[in-house]
This record gives sequence, C-alpha cells and structure tokens, in this order.
Amino acid sequence: MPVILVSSDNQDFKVDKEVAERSILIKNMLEDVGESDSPIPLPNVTAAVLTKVIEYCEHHRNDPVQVPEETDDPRKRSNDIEEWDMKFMQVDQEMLFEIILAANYLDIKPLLDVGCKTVANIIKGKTPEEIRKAFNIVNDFTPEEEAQIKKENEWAEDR
Amino acid sequence: MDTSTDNNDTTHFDNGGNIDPAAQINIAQNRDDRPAPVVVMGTAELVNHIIRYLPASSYRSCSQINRDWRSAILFTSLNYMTFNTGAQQSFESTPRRIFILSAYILQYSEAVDTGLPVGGVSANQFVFSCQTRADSVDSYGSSGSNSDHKSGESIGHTGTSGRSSGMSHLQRHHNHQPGHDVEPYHSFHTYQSSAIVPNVYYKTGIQLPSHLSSPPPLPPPPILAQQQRPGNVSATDATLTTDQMLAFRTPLLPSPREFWTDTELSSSGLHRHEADFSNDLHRSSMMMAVDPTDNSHSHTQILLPPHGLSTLQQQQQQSMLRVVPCPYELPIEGSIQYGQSIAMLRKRSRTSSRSAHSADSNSTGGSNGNEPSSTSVMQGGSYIPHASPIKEESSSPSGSAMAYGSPYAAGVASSSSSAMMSPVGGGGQGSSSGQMSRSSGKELASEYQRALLGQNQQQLQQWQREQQQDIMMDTTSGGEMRGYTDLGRRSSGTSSASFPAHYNQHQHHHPHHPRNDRHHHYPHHDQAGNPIESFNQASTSSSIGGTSSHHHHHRQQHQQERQHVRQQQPGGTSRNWSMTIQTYYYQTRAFNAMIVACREHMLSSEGQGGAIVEKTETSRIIWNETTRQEHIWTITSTLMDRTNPGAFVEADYDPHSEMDSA
Repeated sequence: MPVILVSSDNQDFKVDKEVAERSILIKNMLEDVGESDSPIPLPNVTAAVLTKVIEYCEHHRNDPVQVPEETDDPRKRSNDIEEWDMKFMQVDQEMLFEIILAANYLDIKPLLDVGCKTVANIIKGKTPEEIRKAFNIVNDFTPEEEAQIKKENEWAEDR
Repeated sequence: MDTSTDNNDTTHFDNGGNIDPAAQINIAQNRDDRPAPVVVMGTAELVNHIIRYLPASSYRSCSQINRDWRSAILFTSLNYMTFNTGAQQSFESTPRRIFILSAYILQYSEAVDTGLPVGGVSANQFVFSCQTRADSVDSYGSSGSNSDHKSGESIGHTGTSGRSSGMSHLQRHHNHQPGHDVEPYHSFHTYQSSAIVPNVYYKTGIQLPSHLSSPPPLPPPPILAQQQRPGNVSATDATLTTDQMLAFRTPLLPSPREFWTDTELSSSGLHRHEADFSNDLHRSSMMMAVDPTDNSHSHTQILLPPHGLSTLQQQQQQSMLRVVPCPYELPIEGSIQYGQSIAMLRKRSRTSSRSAHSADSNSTGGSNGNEPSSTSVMQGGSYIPHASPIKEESSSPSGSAMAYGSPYAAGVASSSSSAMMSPVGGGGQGSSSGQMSRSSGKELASEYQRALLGQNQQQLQQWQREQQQDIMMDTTSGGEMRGYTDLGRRSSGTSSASFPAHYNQHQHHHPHHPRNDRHHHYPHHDQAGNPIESFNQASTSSSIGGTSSHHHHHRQQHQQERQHVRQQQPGGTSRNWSMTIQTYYYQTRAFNAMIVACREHMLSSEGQGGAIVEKTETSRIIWNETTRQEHIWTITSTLMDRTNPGAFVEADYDPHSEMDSA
C-alpha cells in the first residue's frame, strides 16, 4: 500500500509503506491514524531533500531496525560509513545539512547517523575558523566571550 | 484527496466534516529559514550527535575530540553549554595519566664535636647523619625508638636498637614487601648514619625512588674488616679498632686488601679508605678518612652500616658503634585545584617538633644553630611550558662528567670517581669535622654516583617498562602542564602541626591507583600555588601501615596522624622544610619543570655550590656541600580519575583549624 508524502513545496511522493515507515515519525502517525489514503504533509522537507530521503529509505528498506542500545554507544566512530551511504552523502553542504535536518525531523536514525558522521568527518582536523568557513558560520562571540570560552576550556587543551 | 497543511497549522476537514487524519496528528512544522548548517549547529541535539561521532577512544583521540569540540563551540553561542557539558563528559570518561613532580630535601648534619658521650667517648665525634624520620621506628613497630637515643650511647644500648635505628625509615619501608599494607617507600636516598670516629664517615643504605630502583633485599651484611695501618687509627678499650674488626672477619669477607678499594695518603697526611661492607656495592659502602697526624682523637670508632650492626654488636658489646638518628621530616601540604581541570598539587613540608630526635640531632650537631632548612631553599618560579624537554646545561663546579645510564651525562659533573681516590681536601684536622665534612661531600657525591649507577639502570628499565605498559595513556608527547616549583624559605622556631613525613611517599606508592593518589587539598593556596599561610608540622607521624589501598582507611590514618602530632607537639621546631608538588599532565612537561626547578635552584644563592650528582629521565639530585643538603627532584606517573576529580582530593585541610584545635 503506497503512502503519499507531500513536500513543503507541495510535491507529492508516492512511496511504499514499508519505505515510508523507515521514518519513525511517519510510522507512528500511520499506526495512529490507521488505514488512510490521506497524503502526509511534510512542510519541513523540501522536494529535493525528500527525494534524497526517499532514496535512502528505498535502499535501506530491508535493513533491520537499529537497537537503541547499540546506537547509544558513546564510542561511536565516524569512519564506519557504508560505501553506498558515503556516496549518497556526497552532496553539497547545504543538502547535507538539509538531509540531517530532515532525518532528524522524520526520525530516521540511520540517516541521521550517516549525516552526522559525515559532518564529523568534515570537522576533524579543522580549526574553528576553518570550520566556520567550511560551514559558512558567522562567529557570534565577541572577542571577550571567545577568550573567556577558551579560558574555561583550557582543560581540553592537549598540546 | 488533496490534502495539504498550510504553514499556519490550521485544522482541515474533509467533505464529511471529519478532521483530516493528517491534521489530527499534526506533524507539520514551520520551516526554519536559516541556512541548514546554522540550523544544524544551532540544534543542541544535532550537535551532540555529531560530536559523539568524533573519536574519543584513546588519549590522542580524546585530544582530537577536544579540539573538535572547541571548534564546534565557537560556531555559535547558542550551544555552548551543550557542547561544554557533552564534550567534558566525553573527555573525562578517559582516564588520564599525569606526572607528579616531587621535590625532596635531605639534610645532612654538619660534622661537629659532640663532646664526651655517656659511653666514654672523649674525642671528637664526627657524625654524619642523615635525616631519618623521627617516627621511623614507631611507624613500623620495630623495637626501640630513635628518640631514646642519646649522644654517646654505648653499643650495648645501641645494640638494642641498632637494627631499628640503623635501618633507616626508608630501608624499613623498603624491606616491607610489596603487597603488604604498606607499599615500598621510595623517593629518598639515604645516607645512613653515623660515625663517632673523628673524620670517619660513611654512607650506606642508598635507597632510590621505586620508579628508579629495583627493590632487592639487602644482602646479608658481612662483618666489617679493615686493614690495620699503624698510626692511622688508634683505639681504646671502648672503641672498635681495626684490629678488632679484623678479628671478627668471617671467611666470606674479602681480604683486607680486597676490602679496601683504595688507600691513599693525602698531601695533608689524611688517609682515606674506602670499604665496601656488603657484597652489593649499591647497597653498602664506606668511605673513611682518618687523619694520622691528629693525635687528639684517642678514641676512634667506626660505625658499621646499619645492616651490619646486629652482627657486630653481638660480638663486640663494648664497641662504640652508635647510630645517631637525626630527625627527618618531610611533612607536606597539598593543594589541588581542579576548577579548570588543572590538577595542581602543592605541598609544603613542615617543621618538626623538637622531639628527642631533634635533641639527639642537636647533640650531634645535626640541628645546631646553622639550621639547614633556614639556609637552604629550593626555589622555583613560574614555569613556561615547553614542547620538548629542556636541554640541560651543566652548572656543576667541577668538570668531570659521569654517565650513569643517564642521557644527560654531560651535566653530571659534581665529582668524578677519581675524586674518591684523591686526597681529601681540608687538611684532615680531626677536630675540624665541619671542614672535613665539607671536603668529603664531593667524595660522597662521587661515591654516591657510583653506587647509584647500577640501580639507576635498573630503575630506568623498570620505569621504561611501566611507560610501555601505559603507552596508551602517554602517547601524546606534549601536554598540558602548568607549574612551577616553589620551595620557599621557611622560618624556624614556629610551632608545629603536621603532616606525616611519609605522606608524600604515599602518593608515590600507588602510582597506578588513582584512589590512592589522593592528596590533601589546601584551599588556602592562591592561584599561583603560593601558600597563603604556612603551618608547621612535626615529624612524629604515626604508622603508615594498614590498608593503604583503602581510601577511607588512608584518610583515617592521616587524621590519626594529625591528631597524634597535635598531641605530641611540644611546640619547638628543629627544621623547616619546604616543598612543592604539582601535578602535570604529561611527562615531557613534568620533566621540563623538574629541570627548570633544578636549574633555578642551582642558580639561586642557596643552591650555589651544589652539583648534580645524578641525572635520570625522571630525577635530578643535587648535592650541596656547603649546606650539606641533597635536593631531589623526581617525577612519577599516576593516573588521575577525571570522572571524579573530587576523589582526587583526599580531604580539605585547613591549617588554621588545625592550629586552633592544637
């Protein structure tokens, strides 16, 4: 039974229920609403992003559901990304973070993990300024605040 | 059905007037128009999720994640607290190895004429005494007490306590087998006391820090033998002459010629002899100098090393062997500041009460008006961390370099081995024992070096093995280290409160047990680590036995010790010591700090005249002949449990309350 997903720009996406239910959000909603042909609006996800999300869910439609205990491992590694996922994440930075936001919104944990791993790999080895530049982030700290932060976190210095 | 949800989240109804199912569970959210990276990095949960994928499985990884974390928090102030909390938890979850820089001062008393002892010795007495803890006997339940000794006691009296008195506190500790309640004592080198013979002195019982030395048991002591040299040594009935010593020789002993490694007549007519009392050069040695022209010393006594006393005393009850205990105290005061994750430990040793030991020491000149502590200060200053070990320059007055398994052989130049063979300077006046002692200092240092040679190698090997085992925690060469060594001058004559002398050792006894590496916290230190107010400490601490592995018991012990000190504190002090211990995160930084402290001390007015007698990768030892002080710097590694920094601090300690209660 297909499920219709509507993006924020009002594009409909008909996907298998099995694929749609990779999103915990949609899965819970469908369970609560029951059998319905009503399209599911996703105003927080654009069509471009939703396309990528559906692509991911299609590919992992048969993946077992993640066990929460495993995902909460504090010693997660960012270098264990599957090859397909790695290629899947080879998108521009804007799309990457859009996917992360969508995955977070739709509660697709594996996709969120892949996205965060990718971002973590980008962050590695970069200075704060490089990270800001890479992510086009404006530093909203005043110099005094930044100095204070550095001072407060001197314990983390490992030089 | 074409159903959509508008941006206003209004509820929609179908043609039948029913609520639209999708609208029933409104999953619509207003889209954040900010750029996605900003939104992601502005969402604490997402940021945390990203950070959790940063590696933190090793020390190096932890360093990496910290940098990443610090980078991340600078994105925006919105998630600063989230980053701070999450990253710090991650950071603290990894145990961290720190190095503690310790500084010790061993004061050797000047040789003085102690006058006529009770036992009948009438001649000048030279006493080379090492500062041993006043409670060294009591602490271990050995028979007798040093505090009962008086100057000039006969051997019979000494014999009752010769074993305990002669065996230093460190030795006793040393002999205490690991695995018992008390772990081996270390961090001190011990010149064993003493001698009553004019111009005769010896040292023995060298003990090294455990991370520098292997702890083999002392070999069975051979009986002292000495080649008789007419005119060199005169004896009376009350003294043990060389002939008598020869008479007690066992077949196992080397021949006199073998025994005396060197005999030489100096230009001043002073004969010097060097003897080895044991089969182990590193354990026992004797250096003896006798002025044959000095006829004023009708009584010549030669003291055996402590482990040889028991044998000898059984055979020569009337000899004048005597052990002169000299109070040694190294009370300490610690401070740890963890507020900004800079664990800093500051300790100050304290003066001892004028116990019987001090009186004894005074009688032998060990604590005369020339207070060693008042004339010797280990100074340090603000330390600027360096990325690599400091290239050390020699400031030794003499030029002979000796390498004792140390990579810094160029700087070891206090005295060469040839110095032991050279005539002793100072003319060999029998009564001018002070001069004698000064002239012998470098010889002692030289012999000291030689004796340390073998042990140092073992220590280094052992230490390296430990380092290899802990390589996971020490892979980072650089490190966070902020510190300085500040061993300030202490004024004498103040009343005492105390920390036990062994307190400092305790923390070194358990280098791999963070729970046991707790230190007293002294909040009355300022940020620079300078004590706001000092307090005194007696040397009468009680037992350190017991379950040192149990923190509570350990703490209770210290409380008992403090109480014990308060009770036994008569008010007077004989010595003042000062020391500073700080924790350093990384070995390189701690090592640099050690070098800096050593260098600064040698450049200071108090440290001038000192010479480095030992250099290892973990220690520096300076012998100052003028002040007759041995300054030891050493670094030891330990683990700091960062998840519970409070546990690292054993107890808050307010010296004011201590003083008030006393």
